[in-house]
Amino acid sequence: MTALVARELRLLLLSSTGAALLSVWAFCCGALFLMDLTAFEQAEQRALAVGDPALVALLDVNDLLLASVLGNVVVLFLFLAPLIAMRVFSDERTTRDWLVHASSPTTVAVGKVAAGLVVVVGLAASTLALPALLAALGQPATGSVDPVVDVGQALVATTTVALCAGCFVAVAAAVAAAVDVPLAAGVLAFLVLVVWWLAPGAASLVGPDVGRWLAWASPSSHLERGLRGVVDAGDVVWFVGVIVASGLAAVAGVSGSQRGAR
Amino acid sequence: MSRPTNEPTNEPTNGQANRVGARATAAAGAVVVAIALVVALPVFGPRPASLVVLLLGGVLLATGSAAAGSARQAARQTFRGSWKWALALVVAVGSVVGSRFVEHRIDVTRSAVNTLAEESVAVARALPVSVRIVAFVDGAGRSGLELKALVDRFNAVTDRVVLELRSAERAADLDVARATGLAELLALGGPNVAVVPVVGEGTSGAPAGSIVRLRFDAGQPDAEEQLTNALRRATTTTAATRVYVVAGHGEPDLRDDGPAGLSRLRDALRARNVELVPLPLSVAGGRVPDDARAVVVVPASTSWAPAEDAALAAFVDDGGALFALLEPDVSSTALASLVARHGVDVLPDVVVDDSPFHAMLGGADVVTGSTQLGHAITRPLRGALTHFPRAAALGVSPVDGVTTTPVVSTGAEARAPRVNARGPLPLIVAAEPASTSTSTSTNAAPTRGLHTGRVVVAADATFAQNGAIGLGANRDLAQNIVLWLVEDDDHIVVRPHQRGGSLVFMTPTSREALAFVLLVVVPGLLAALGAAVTAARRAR
Repeated sequence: MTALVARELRLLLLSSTGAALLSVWAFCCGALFLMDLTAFEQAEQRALAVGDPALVALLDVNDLLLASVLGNVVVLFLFLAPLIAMRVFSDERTTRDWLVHASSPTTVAVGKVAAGLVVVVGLAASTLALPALLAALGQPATGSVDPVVDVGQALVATTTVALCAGCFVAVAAAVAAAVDVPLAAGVLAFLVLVVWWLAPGAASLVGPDVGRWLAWASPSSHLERGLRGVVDAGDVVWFVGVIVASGLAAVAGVSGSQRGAR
Repeated sequence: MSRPTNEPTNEPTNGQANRVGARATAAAGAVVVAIALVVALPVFGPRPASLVVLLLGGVLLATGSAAAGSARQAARQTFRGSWKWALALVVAVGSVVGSRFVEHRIDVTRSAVNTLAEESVAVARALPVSVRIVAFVDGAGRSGLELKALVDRFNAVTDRVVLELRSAERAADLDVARATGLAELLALGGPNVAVVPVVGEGTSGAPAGSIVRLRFDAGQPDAEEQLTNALRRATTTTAATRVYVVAGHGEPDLRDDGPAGLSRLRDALRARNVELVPLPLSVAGGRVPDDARAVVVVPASTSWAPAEDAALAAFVDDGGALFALLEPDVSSTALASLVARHGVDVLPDVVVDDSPFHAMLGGADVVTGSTQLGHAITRPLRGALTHFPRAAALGVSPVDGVTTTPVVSTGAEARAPRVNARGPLPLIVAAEPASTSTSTSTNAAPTRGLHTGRVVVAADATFAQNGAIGLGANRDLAQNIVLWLVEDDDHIVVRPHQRGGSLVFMTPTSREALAFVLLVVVPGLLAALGAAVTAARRAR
């Protein structure tokens, strides 16, 4: 299993595709950070111009800047997860080697999903550079002696992003495990993720009761608390449950493909 | 001898037909189970009876169909490859449903900024009935997110608070706006949130008097305090607050719908559970009633009797709240001396405004006022402009024990030529005992029983009359003044957990450097690293 994960990580990251992916990732994160930083600075200037201490006290890089950037970073994973899953499952299926040689579809599927999870968790962890930047750039408002960055909130928010990205990659892997054509797997996984992400928007069509459950079934409604620095046991159960269920679905998909290949 | 199942054949056998039938019915059973979990549960709620029946029905159908096909082999064939899918489905649905009932939160932020203040927790836990918070705010916008986060904090301690985000652009939601008394207020930019107690089983039977309406905007420092007090008021029976408007001397009438009347102010305040009641002082025995939370004085066409002046003075001296609406050359000497004791001087002049607004609004007599953001009366207006058709000139003089604050002032272009004063000139002045000053963000408790000891003087009565109350933020201003004057003696002061704020100051050079590093250096290094690794691998 470990060897399989290591092999998948090597294939994913130590390649021109992997380097391009990391480069684009870094660029997008930087751009999102700069955009939110600009918006924060504008709000800051307005509050300082008004001169109301109550308004200035509301300016908080943790909520207004960091949580906002991380909320947008999650959207990046909507695009990234299908690419990773497509690469891990469908792309390699064209060679068919693992279908023939692997003794256990569970090992193969879990190893590949785990590799995808390691990648997205690593990418999510890389966003910890943003609070570090803010700690260097920011300063407490007048009268406050607290550090600018709330370390607890930054850690919980980053973990939440990692969990959500893990959900994305696991679901995308489940889709990719069931589809042989790489491009179709990627597109289908992306569509599934987008519909899943936007499901709460359909609440107005189905009424408030069903809408509440639709919202609950979507990852977008489980992010908010974590980004604000609240560890919610229900959200954690939800994320972990979806990752496990999607992993099982990927195992089922691999089993089916393996039978077909043999 | 039976034929092997994987042997090619052109005709369907009975076994194959059974398998197909069993698979189809088993799939139908699985669908029923899924529907029970995904649809029935939200519709019927997590009530054990309905849930168990539906789940049982689905499971029975699934297993029964497999048995009815009398195809153990078929069932084995069916589920051999798909048990993992079924397990995945069960785990997924189980996690979604299970997480709904897992309620444990830890706020790891410094200062616990996502946790309700103790006062709010006490109110939330003591709610006697459920409450709907009907909000006409953009759910995806900043105000919507902040409101959701705030209600989420209440939901962490009570399940009796339900948030409903509505849109004024949907016909069905407009009916809700009408039912909650928000429809007209929304059109005027007034309150956008109604706190509605749920009466009995119905959700729309709340008496109008118990619905509390408030304005919720993004970045509102006292949002938690407002909502906490709204929840408390909505769930406790309180009689309307009575504010008396002196009558009997030709004052503008509360029932008059014409431009000079005060009916629009009366209606706006009624929606906030404040009743404006005419007070003919001469008929009322020369005294202000005991249940008066404040008295409003509007310009009269005939003069007051000395006993009436004395009654008003006694009320104010006893800490009674007063809203004095003046007009140039109309105000009585007694009233002028009364407000002077609170640091407000009535000057013998009319304010003229040379700002660009006067041309649009009817001449130099129409004065435009800017609101002071640091005061409880004007902070909710967020800098909105107010307009005064003909304002008397006011001055402010410090008085011991009284905090006097000009909450609305003219711009620098305004002037009072006869007294040779130049803008900014005060248009609305709020005075209160120094010990209960609310010029900062807090709303301190009043001093004596029903009386807050607060006095507000307006340089122009017209701004609150029907003809001008719709100009700019006049309506909100007039309403906020009365609400501030009668502020509940049991109003709960809530100090939300806050971090204290943080700022980011960057010079253009440092900003450019940061952008260069984030957008060019880091992505470029990663790309170069990738190219190097690829080249190295190819070389091997």
